[in-house]
Amino acid sequence: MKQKEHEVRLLMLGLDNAGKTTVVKQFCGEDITTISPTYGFNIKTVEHEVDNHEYRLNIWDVGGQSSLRSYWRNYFECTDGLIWVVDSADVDRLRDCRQELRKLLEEERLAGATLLVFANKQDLPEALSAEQIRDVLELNELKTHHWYILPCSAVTGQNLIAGIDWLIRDIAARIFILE
Amino acid sequence: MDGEVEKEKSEEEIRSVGDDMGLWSCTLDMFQEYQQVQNMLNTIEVDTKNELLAEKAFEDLITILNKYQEQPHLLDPHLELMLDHLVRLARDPTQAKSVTRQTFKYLWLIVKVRGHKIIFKKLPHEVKDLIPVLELLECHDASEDFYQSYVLLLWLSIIIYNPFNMTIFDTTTTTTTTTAGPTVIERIMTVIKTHLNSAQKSREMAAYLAARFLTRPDLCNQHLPSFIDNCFEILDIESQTTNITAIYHKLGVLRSLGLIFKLGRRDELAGHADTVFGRLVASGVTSAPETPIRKLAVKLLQRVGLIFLRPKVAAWRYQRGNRKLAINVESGRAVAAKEGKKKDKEEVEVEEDEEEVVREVEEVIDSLLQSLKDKDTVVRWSAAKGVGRLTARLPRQFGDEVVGAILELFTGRESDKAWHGGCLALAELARRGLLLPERLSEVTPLVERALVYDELRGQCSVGANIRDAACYLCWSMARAYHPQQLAPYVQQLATGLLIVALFDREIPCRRAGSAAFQEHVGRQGAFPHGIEIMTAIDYFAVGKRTNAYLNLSVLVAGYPEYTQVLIDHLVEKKVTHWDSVIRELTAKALYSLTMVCPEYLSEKVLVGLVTGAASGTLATRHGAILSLAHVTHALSTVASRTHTPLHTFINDEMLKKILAIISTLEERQLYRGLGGEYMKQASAVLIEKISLSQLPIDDNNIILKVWQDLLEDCIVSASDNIRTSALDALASFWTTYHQPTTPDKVEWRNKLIHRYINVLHTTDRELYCLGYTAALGCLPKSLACGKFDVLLQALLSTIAIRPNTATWAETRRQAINSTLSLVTTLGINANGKECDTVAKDGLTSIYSVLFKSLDDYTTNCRGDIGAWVREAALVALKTLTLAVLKEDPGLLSKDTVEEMMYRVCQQAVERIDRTRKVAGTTLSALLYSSPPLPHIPCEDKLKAVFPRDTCTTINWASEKTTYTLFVQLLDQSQYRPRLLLGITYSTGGIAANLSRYTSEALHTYLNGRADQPHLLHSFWDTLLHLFAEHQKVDRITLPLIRTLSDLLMSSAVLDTILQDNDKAINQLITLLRKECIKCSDYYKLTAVITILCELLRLTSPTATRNVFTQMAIFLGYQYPKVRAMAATSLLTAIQEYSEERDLVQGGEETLEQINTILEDTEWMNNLNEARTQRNRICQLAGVSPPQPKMK
Repeated sequence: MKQKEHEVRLLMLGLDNAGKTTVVKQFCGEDITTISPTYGFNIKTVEHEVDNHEYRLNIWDVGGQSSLRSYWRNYFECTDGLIWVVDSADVDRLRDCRQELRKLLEEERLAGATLLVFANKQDLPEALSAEQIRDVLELNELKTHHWYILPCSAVTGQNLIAGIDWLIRDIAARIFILE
Repeated sequence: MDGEVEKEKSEEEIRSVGDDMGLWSCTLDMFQEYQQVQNMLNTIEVDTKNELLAEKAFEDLITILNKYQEQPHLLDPHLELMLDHLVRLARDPTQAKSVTRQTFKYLWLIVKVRGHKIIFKKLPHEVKDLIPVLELLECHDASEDFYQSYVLLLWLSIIIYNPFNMTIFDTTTTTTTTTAGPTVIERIMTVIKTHLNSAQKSREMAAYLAARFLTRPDLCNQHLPSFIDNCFEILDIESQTTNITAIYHKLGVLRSLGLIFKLGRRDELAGHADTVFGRLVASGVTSAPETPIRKLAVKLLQRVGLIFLRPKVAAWRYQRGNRKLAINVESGRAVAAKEGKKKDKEEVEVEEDEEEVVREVEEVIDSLLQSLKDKDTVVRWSAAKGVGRLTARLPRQFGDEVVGAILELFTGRESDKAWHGGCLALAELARRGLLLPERLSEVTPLVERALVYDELRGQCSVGANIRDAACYLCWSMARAYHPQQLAPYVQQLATGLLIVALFDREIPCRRAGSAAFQEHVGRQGAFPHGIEIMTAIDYFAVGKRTNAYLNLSVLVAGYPEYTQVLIDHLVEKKVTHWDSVIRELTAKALYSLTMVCPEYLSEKVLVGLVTGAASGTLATRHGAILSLAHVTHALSTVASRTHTPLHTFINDEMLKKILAIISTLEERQLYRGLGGEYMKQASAVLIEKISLSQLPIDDNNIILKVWQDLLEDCIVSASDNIRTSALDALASFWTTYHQPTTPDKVEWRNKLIHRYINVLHTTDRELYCLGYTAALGCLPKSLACGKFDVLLQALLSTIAIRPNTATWAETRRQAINSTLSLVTTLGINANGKECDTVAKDGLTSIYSVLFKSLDDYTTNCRGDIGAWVREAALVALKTLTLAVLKEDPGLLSKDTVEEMMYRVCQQAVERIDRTRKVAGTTLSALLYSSPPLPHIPCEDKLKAVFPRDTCTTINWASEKTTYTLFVQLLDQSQYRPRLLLGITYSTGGIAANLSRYTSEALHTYLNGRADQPHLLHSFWDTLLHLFAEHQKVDRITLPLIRTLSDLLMSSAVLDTILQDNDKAINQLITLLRKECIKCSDYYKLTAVITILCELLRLTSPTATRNVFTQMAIFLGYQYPKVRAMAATSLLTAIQEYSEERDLVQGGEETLEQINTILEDTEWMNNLNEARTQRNRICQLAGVSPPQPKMK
């Protein structure tokens, strides 16, 4: 059995309090009732099956506090997919969010990485819709990366699987097609 | 050569076992020992209390985990728990030092098995660990304990991966400690530096830590420059300094730099790339004498090169179309378009800018191209990868220039190293789609040449690696291109790969060729008859070279696309190959290929071979003659099969030339010296094949005389190969050209036989006797008929051992074989004439000579060479007897059969496994022959012990199974003497295993007869009888005495018949005494002493005195060791047996005195002193002391 086949590295980023760790914990089936701010980073490995192929996902979840953001680039190497998590209810900081995402996408080591945007916290009544988020983030102008935005809720689990499935398919089409 | 054949054979076996039974598998499916390992982890605290236990536990863990080295991912499900536990122990400062040490050993082992890149992610990376881990690394112990520093450095690498500014730790620590020491950054740098020059693997971890640490966003500006500076200070030290630590240090810093340039950000490193490149070239490490340094230097070089270039997927690369790269391609186009626009506007500026980049990259690529020719494979590989990676980022024009430069490596002027490197680089480019289809027309011819690159350099050949790499190139081409692109080259590639797969000398190359062929068939589907051929020449089938040459080649040549190219290749490259084995195989392969298309061979190839036979080069001449021989034979076979006259294939002129070859060689004196050996062998084959082809030769032709002389010269050669070739040739040569049909020919025959027999009788050189004996065995029926009586007599006299030729065992074996083959040639006829066939008298004398041969125990420096003769005799007995039975069982007398059965049984229980096997097979063949063999003594018993089933399944060579069966025959008085002779020979031998099983079998037999004293008595009597019969024959008596002592010492079953049986015991003592007269064999004397002392247990007073008398001789023996041995044995015996028996008349007191003397005397020292003491013992024991003989 070849072990490296179908192994994917995903990087999970976003502003602080966007719900990144909650998403990761949902993926791993861990308890999400007590989550404190990530002061550092987490690495999780899970298996996931898409289109009858078993994939091994290495997910790197890095803290989003502004003091930590300059260190994000430390984690870029070999990233196949980028998951950008947005707090859809935090309207005040969406501009900030767009700024960070834009900076990130200029990074040459992320060139070619697929981008999945989670418009998180849809379970909150004041949350903006995915379409609104897309427009604020000006995703339609993004040509350098494959991207996709989904409304989701890390607490209820809404759309999490759908998002990851799309991400894996896109990566697989790019990397594994010839193997 | 044998070795390889052997290897191939065994691989074949393993495979077949593996395939059929499913027993063999190197893959595991799960981490089976998890529970056991978990227990070991839980008991670390207990295990480490004892150093031995701790070491044992570690060794055990190594054994378990090493099984998973190849499939480490099986550990993954349990990795987290195991690491958790170990890290908890490692973190705990209250643990004893031994526990911590053991913990790190375990951690290191897990890292070693699973790989540091994986464990890196699994280690805890909480910030709170930073300071403790750092402190552990700083403390003195850690730098000494390799395991600990290795793991800690790795652990630190993930901890410092945290997204925090490193300076914040200093403020927290300074609040706790009063003095402001070095900062955390400085401390980590110090740790890195201390380990970077280590001779152990912790060096690599330090490099990893350095790279992780210095590429942090907050550090790369301040600390990286000084670090790079430091590194080059070390690299600049003269490479001549042979200081080994300097070499390790260089390895360490090169690895760090390489990793920094791998992990770091391009824009941040761009500023340093210039300097690093410049200084790297200046330091000269790329041409350092140490391979590992060169390899790391090449790695660093390519990574620096990559820094100069934007990472992008070359837009110009060749794509097979099914990659979904829409976004990349689009963005590439967008950029290109933009740049194009810019160019228009600011043409001058942009070009300047580009030129600058290009110049440095050019230099890097130049260096890498140089390294492609490096003398070491690892460096070439690394350089090839580097060329691939760099080219992917180059603009099209430049990229193509790189390809051009690589293609220039493939010239005759470049070394084989360059060819190899070139193949690797091209393969890397092809894999990445960077070898554009337009270049294929240039590449393909080079590939074809590389696939057959094979040159002899002095004593070794070069090129196997090139051929292997060329296969790799073909393999990657199969994956890279669209079938349409490769279509023009399919024929070349297919034949090129087939040639490697079928005809390469080396097994890895044949397999590589087969794999690449499969890749083409699977992905391209354009190879003619690909599927059919592929199934035939799979990876395993080509593993056996003879199979590939002789069977697979014929199969492939059956497809007309390949027939001629395969033949052409063989004729051009392999007929003249430098390895003689390949030349021989080629000749045989050409025989079969001739059958496929005889016309092509006869028209195109024959002329070349005839010319080659006169070549000045030895290999060419040898190969050409061999091939010519086989091709001629094949053509004549085809001619006779198709009823075509031979001259349609071989015209008269050609025929004349072929027949003249040997005379020409003779005239040119090419049968002399070392090369002459090859010529002789090839010529013998040529004569054989010509004879088989029955080419017309005039009776009086001088050629026949030349050939006969040559063959006679060959049969006395020291080389087996020449001898066998010549003997094969003789048989067919005589049959074809010397039929005694005319009086002249009869006369010639008579002279020949007379001359040969004369050699047997007169020669004093074994090779002559051997050769001519073998030649006589080759006589065809027509020649031997009428002379058999003379021949038989001569051969039989050769079989007998004669004093001055006693060591000629090989000749005697050959004589037996020759006799047998003549018997087979002429047949047995009870009423025939003795001179024409095997008749009654002849048969009797053959049998009696064969029986005598079974007593051939000749030894020389090679050991028991008589075994060859005995084995040949056994085989001859079997074959002969079965033949006689078919003719007329009445020819076998009762005596002959009995003698034969006893002797075969004896051989079946002797020392040598191989001989026992031959004897066992003979026995079973005789026992169950058809028609049945008459007169077998105790046939029922024999068949009961060896039923037909047992005979077919038993392993006759196994001492474990056969002896228990044969001992049962000891009940039969007829078989007993011969069997005991054989069994004691084995039991008393020095092979521990053999004597263990035989003695076990004997004891079991005797214990089973405990209630049948008459059998025990006969057993004992037979033993003593054999002893007396072979008195002073060391080969038999020494093992016999040993067997006796073994029986007496470790079993009491014989006691019943020996107890107070003075007659038997005295008889034994007499025999032993005679055996010891003038004996200087220490082992024999020891065995005798053991028996004598053992007898004290059983003897009556009179016999006891005899024992004492004999022991007294040993106590005063001239050899000190014998005296000491006798004293010790006697003392032990007296102490043990004095309670049961009155050993001396004086009773206990006297015994006490004897004991004291035995104990206190220094027996080893002075002979006179020893004899004096010995005499005192004699007095006490009441026997008269032995008198030294007057001289």
